[in-house]
Amino acid sequence: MTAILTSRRARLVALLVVATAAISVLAFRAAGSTASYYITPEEFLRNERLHDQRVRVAGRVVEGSIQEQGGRPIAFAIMGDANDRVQVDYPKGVIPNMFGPWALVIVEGTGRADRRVQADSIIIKHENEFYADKPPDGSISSHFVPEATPTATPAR
Amino acid sequence: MNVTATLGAAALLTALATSAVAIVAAILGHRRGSRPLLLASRRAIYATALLTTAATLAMAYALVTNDFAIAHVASVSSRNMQLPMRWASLYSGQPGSLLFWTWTMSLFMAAFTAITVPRIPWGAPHAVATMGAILVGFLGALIFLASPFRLSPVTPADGQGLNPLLVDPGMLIHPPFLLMGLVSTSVPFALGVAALLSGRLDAAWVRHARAWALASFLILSIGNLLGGWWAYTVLGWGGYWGWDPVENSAILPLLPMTAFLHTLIVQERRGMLKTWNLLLVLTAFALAVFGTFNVRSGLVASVHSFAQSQVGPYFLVLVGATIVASVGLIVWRLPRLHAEADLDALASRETGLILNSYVMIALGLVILGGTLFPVFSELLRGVRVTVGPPFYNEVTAPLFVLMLLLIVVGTVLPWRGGAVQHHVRRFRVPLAVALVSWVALGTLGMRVPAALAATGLCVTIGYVTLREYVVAARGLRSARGSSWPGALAGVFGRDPRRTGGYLVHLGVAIMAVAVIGSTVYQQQTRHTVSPGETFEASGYTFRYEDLVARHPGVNGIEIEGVTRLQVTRDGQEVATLEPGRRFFTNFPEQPTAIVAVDATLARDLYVFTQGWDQTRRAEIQVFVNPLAQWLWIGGGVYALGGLLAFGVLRREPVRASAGIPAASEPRAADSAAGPA
Repeated sequence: MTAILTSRRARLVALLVVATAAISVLAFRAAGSTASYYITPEEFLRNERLHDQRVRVAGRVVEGSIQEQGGRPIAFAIMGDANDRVQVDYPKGVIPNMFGPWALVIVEGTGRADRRVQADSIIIKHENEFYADKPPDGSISSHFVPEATPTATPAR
Repeated sequence: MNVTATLGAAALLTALATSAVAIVAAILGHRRGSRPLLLASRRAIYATALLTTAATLAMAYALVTNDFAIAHVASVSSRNMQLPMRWASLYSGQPGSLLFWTWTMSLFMAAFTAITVPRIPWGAPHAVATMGAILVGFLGALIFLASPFRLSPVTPADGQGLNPLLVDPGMLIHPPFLLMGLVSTSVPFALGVAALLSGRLDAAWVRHARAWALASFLILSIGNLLGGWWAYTVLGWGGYWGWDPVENSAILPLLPMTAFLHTLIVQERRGMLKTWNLLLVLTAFALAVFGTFNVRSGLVASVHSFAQSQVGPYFLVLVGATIVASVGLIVWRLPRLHAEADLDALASRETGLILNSYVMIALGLVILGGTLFPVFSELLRGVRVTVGPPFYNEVTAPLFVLMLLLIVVGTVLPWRGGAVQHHVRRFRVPLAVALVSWVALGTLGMRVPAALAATGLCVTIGYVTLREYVVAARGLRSARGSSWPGALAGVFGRDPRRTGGYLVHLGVAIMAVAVIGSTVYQQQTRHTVSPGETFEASGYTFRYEDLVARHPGVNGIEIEGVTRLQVTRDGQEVATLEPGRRFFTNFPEQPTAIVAVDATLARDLYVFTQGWDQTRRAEIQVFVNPLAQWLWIGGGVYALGGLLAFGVLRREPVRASAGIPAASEPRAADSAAGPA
């Protein structure tokens, strides 16, 4: 036992174990305090207790729903997988560069009645994929591929 | 029949065949002791590189000639794209980036086969077979799942053009460097596998891996730095690193590779950390493949989007196979991976390097864990939990501060430790420098503890690094009577590996100061103004002159709208800035920001325009980023240090002389030992 305690290698390993424990505690605390639980539009609409509460709701910006004032979006709708829609009011704050129809956004703000969120920040997540030349029809990626210019030349 | 597509596809298919030939010839050649077969295996690697080059040239030709019959060309190029941007089109999109990845990887492997394989007779067939297997894996994906030469059903008259966010000079260099950095991890990996398969587990493989690992480290570092620069100048959110999963995937392989560059020194000098070094090179490559998988699968975005791409699951299998094979080989050889020496002292350079390696891996695990957090939470609890920049900043900040401390400690501590009084003598001046720095910075108003600690350590890194150079130069001056400039040049010439490494540390310290200044002390304001109105921001006066339209007419840009601003301070003219927005013909709902930056060594004035209305009233965002330019300056110092460190390729050992302890030399036992 004494030999283990006096072994330099053992002491180094012990130091690393303590350091690992400290980093793990730090990481778990950070994840717990800064983790963003975000709910879907469906979950937001279903839970009336979220009215007048701080919320984070994630969804895709509905095409055609963006209202602008002064050249800047001030309101839009987001939808989840089940097509439930939440209206977002965003009168001030930074509009991320990739904001637009079909963008995947996380809005943070205060839940309101009438299916609305009064947002004070928007986070955009860009698509983490290199989509294929022709993404599958109906896939999210297909909304980011503009229509090809029509031509009479058939493929050879 | 489209000739270009046919030739390109045929080249890739033939490359797949030659890669398979490389594997078979290497294995058979090794078993039969057949020199012709072993030579054939190497030539098969060269042939693969030639064929992938031919395929890449075919795609380049298609891009230059606007061959929109090829689906990839139609999706990433257009008739009015300038020639340089077509280079960016080459590696855009899934098939293009995979083609570029496979091409550059085959070039690296061909270079490795020509330069290093002849020098490792004990492991040549193993390394060649490993490279062949990797090439088969990637060519398989390229040919059967994401072919760049797939034809469109109908040929469009014009292509869609490059994604608006990619229309920027930064895209000409950032992705190539990053992709090359990722593929370059395959070479140290192949050497590590060769060592495990052949049983040659001493420092021989490490000595040959060193230069390739340094190249990988340098290219990956430059790729990540260029990515930050691109994000800063294009994305328009005022920063350069957002802890995005794609960014995280790019930096993950760099961490074990950096750790390996440090701990290989310990194995060379002391015969220790054999298992650890093997794990590091295997991990670096596995993380590079993981990064490829991550950005092509959509897994982190959602497990549901994972299935959108066939390539995603394929690369998941590749990552899994890499990990299983690597771990299996190490477990198999574990009984022979014993250290040849023990630690002489905890307060030694060996310990410093081990702790540095540990910090790199801890950083990697934190970043990897944060990146995959949403996946595990969704799988385990059905609730998708994401962690954002606050998580990464909170956990990595102490680790980065620790890394800065270890740079100081590792530079000062001697090999194999020493007496306590010697340590006191070595550390007293650096400690004094640190204390004086902290007091001075605190007096100047720096109050954030982590920023204060880190900045003081950066100053100390500057001191200990310059002290090393001065001590070495002083020794040369007394030995040769050289002038100071001559002696300093001589220091870099005689021991480039060490002096280059110290310069990299100096670059890290400069970048750290820049990061602290531009993030902790960043100021931002938002203003809505009409033409002719002024606003104040951080002591500067901005006068909004007018909204101006520009029509570049190239690269798919339909129109640019810029808000012309005159910036003054205390009545003195500072700059004319023109932030605005750029609108693309084929992507009308994806305008990009035109960021305007007035840069000085003290600060960046970073301005972008959110938008405007029909009365030309505009919303303008202003960031003041102190010391931001030092990030790029520090990156340049870092890169220069990495380039200088390549002098390690010199054959003759560095001679010991006054003030310049000799760099590590190969031990006689290593070179004499044959294959196990």
